[in-house]
Formats: sequence, structure tokens, C-alpha cells
Amino acid sequence: MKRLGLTIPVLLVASLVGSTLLAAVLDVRGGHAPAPRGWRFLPEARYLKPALLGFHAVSADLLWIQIVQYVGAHVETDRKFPQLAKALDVATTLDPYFIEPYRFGALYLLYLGRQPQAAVALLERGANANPERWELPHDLGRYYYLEVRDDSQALRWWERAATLPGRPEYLPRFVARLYARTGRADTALELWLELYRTTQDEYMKSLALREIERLKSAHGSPLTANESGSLLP
Amino acid sequence: MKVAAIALNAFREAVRDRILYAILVFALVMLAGSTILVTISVGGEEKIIKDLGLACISIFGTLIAVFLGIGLVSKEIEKRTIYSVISKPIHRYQFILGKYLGLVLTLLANVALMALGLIGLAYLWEGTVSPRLVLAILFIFLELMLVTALALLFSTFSSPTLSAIFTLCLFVAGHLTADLRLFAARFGGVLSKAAIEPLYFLLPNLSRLNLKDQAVHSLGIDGGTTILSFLYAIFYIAALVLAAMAIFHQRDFQ
Repeated sequence: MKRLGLTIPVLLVASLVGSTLLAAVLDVRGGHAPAPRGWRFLPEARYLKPALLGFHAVSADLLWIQIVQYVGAHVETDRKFPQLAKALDVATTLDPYFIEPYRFGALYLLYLGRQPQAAVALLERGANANPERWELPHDLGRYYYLEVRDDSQALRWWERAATLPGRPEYLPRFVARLYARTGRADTALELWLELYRTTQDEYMKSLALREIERLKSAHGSPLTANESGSLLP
Repeated sequence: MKVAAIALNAFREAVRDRILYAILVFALVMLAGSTILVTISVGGEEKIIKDLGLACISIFGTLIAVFLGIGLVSKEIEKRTIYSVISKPIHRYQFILGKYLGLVLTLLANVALMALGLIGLAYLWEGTVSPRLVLAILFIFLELMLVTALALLFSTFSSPTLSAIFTLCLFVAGHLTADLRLFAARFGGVLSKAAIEPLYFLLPNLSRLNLKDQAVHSLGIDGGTTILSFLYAIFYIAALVLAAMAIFHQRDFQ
């Protein structure tokens, strides 16, 4: 019995040492699991969602983490992302309120996948599903402003984003400038006046005043400090 | 008093079960593991932690409810301890009610532990705890109470293995009833609609007790619907426990 009592711990230690050594050898041979390169099968989200028995949101999270790994793996290799748009569609259908797959997914599609149409479609779907979130119309505005250089489309989306709660301070400023650039000086003036009235920030106040003066002088009606004082409460 | 004594005894018996601790430890490890998982995500960390935490409470709570619930009555019959119980001056319905409440107490202790873990993590991550999160956990607990009542019902007339299969099948069906009705309305003929409509009301509608999306995304919760869903669960649980009592009352232990 004593001999048997000693044999088991000895075998246990030997097994542990053996498994550790084998794991190290497998690592050297590159036998570890490869980084995720894609999905063998991505089901249609509308069929998948009911089958998840109420765990659709956590499934969307796990798929989003896999998407990030997928993008990382392909950025380091072939820089091709054939399944990205479909995977993002599945993740956002499973959880339409999950903002990050729309925002970062659109960036991946646009700048890595070179699929601008898919990126815009994704952001538009997100904006429709989350009408109270400023981020998605903001990103659409940025896309049209920077990539397409379509001021009227950028204005359309930024104007929408500027009315939503939590939007950044600079958005009304961007909207006012775009109105001035698209030749709608009256609306631009109104927006600068509104910004001047509502902002608590001294820099923003002086900027708004400067723009008001610039617009007025550009349209043949220079605004003095007193006049602006009477106009602006 | 007799019901309370049986409930406490069932609770003591359940907390001695090693499987309970295995499930609980695994759930807590999973909860803690979610903080590591979010490090490989891009954005949405708070959401992922809450989603994973709520899923952990729901999945592991269901496992506890099923695997402890199926043995509530059948174990007593198998071990023949039921004879000493029914020979005592207690009613059979008291025995069933006591057993059910004992397991609900066990579930409450487990869900409270897991909920504390999740609320603590949410607080560490966000610096605040949304009341919606607490409400979602309460509704998960209600769902677990319903699953326990299902397991108890099957435990009164079938073996533990069959009870587990039946309970898990109804758990799955309970999450699909709304989709089943939608499917019948869209694609079904008159006959399938007629068959599915009573089934829709007979099967538990567990999607009514799912407030996870509202908790995680801070979506609006309709007070009236929430109260009605709460009452629905209570009525359904009462029906299941009463059915278990009726079946147990009819059983012959000679």
C-alpha cells in the first residue's frame, strides 16, 4: 500500500512534466491554433436570432470580438476582407443597438476593405436603428465631407447629428461653416448667432462673433461690436 | 410552519450538493473572465461585460434550476425517504410547496452571488449601476423560478433524466413561442394557425421575461408591460406548482 501511495504522486508529476514539455515542443513546431482567418459558414442573422434563445446580444459581442481578430489577421497577411461586410451585417442584426460594429466596422470597410458602399449602407442602417445616437449621422457626415467632398450630403447628416443629445461641441460650428460654404449665408448666420447665445465657452463665443462679423461684412452689411451686442443677448 | 421546515430542509440539502458549487465557481470565473475578454475587443467594453454577466446568470442559473429541480421529488422516491415523509402528519401539497420554495431559496442565494459579482464589475467599469440592470437580473430570477417549477412538475411523475429532457425542451420552446406564432401567421395555413394558437398560450413565453437588451442599452422600459410580465410569470408558476401538487396527490406510494 505504501509503494502504491508513492507511485501515484510520482506518476502525476511525470505526467505534468510530460504535458508541459510536449506543449513547449508543439509551440516550437508552430502547432498552436492559427489566428482566425474567416468563417466557414455565416448564417443569415434573421434565422440565427430566434435560435439563440434570447442570447442574441452576447452572441453579437462574441462575433464582434471575432471580427476584430479577423481584421487583425488579414491586415497582417493578404489585406483582403471578403467576409467582413457579411459578418458585420450578422453582428448588427443580432444586436441593432450595438454602436461599435457600425462605427469601427464602417472604418474597416472604408479604409481597409475599400468597400465604401458597404460602409455607407452599414452606417445608414445603424442611424435608422438608433435615431437617438449622434455618432452614426456624425460618421456619415464625416465620410461625405472628407471622402466624397459632397458638402450638401455632409451637411444633411451633420445637421441631424447636431440636434441629438451628447453631440460634440464642434458639430454646430461645422454645420454653420458648411451652410456658409454652400452659399446659404442667412442660415449660417442664424446658426452662428445661436451658437453665440448658447455656448458657455469663451473661445467658442469669440469664434462665433468673428464668424458673424465675417459673414455680415461679406454680404455688405458690416456689424459693429455695439450692433452685435444689441443683436446678441 | 411545516412548509417552511420542508423548504429549509430542501435548501440545506441543495447547498450540500457539490454540483451546485461546481456550477457557481464556473459562473464566477466566467464573470471575472469577461474583463480579460474585453481587452481584445475594440470599444463596447461595458456592454460586453454586462451582456456576458447577464448571460452567465441566466445560463448557469438555468443549469442549477434544472439539475437540482429534477431530483426534488424523484430522489425522495428513489431513496424511499418519501414513505417516512408521507407517513407524517403533513399534506402532500405542503411537501411539494416546501420543496419548491427550498429550491427557489437556493436559486436566490446563487443568483444573488452572481448578481453581486456582475454589479461589482459594472460599478468598477462605469462608476455607476443602472436600476435597469437590477431589474433585468430580477426578471432572470423570475425565469429561473419558472424553469424550477417546470422541473418540479416533471419530477413528480417521471425519472430525473426524462425530467431534465422535458424541462430543457420547454425552456427552448419557451424562447421560441413568439417566433412560432409569427411563423404560423406568415406562412401557415388555417390548420397550422389553429394548432399553434392554443400552443402559444399553453407554452411559457420566456421572451416576455427578457429585459437584457433594455438593461445593457439603457432602452426605455414600459412600466405597464413590465408589471404585466411579472404577473404573467407569477400566474404561470402558480399553475405549474398547482399541477405538480395535483399529480403528486394522485400518486400511489403503496
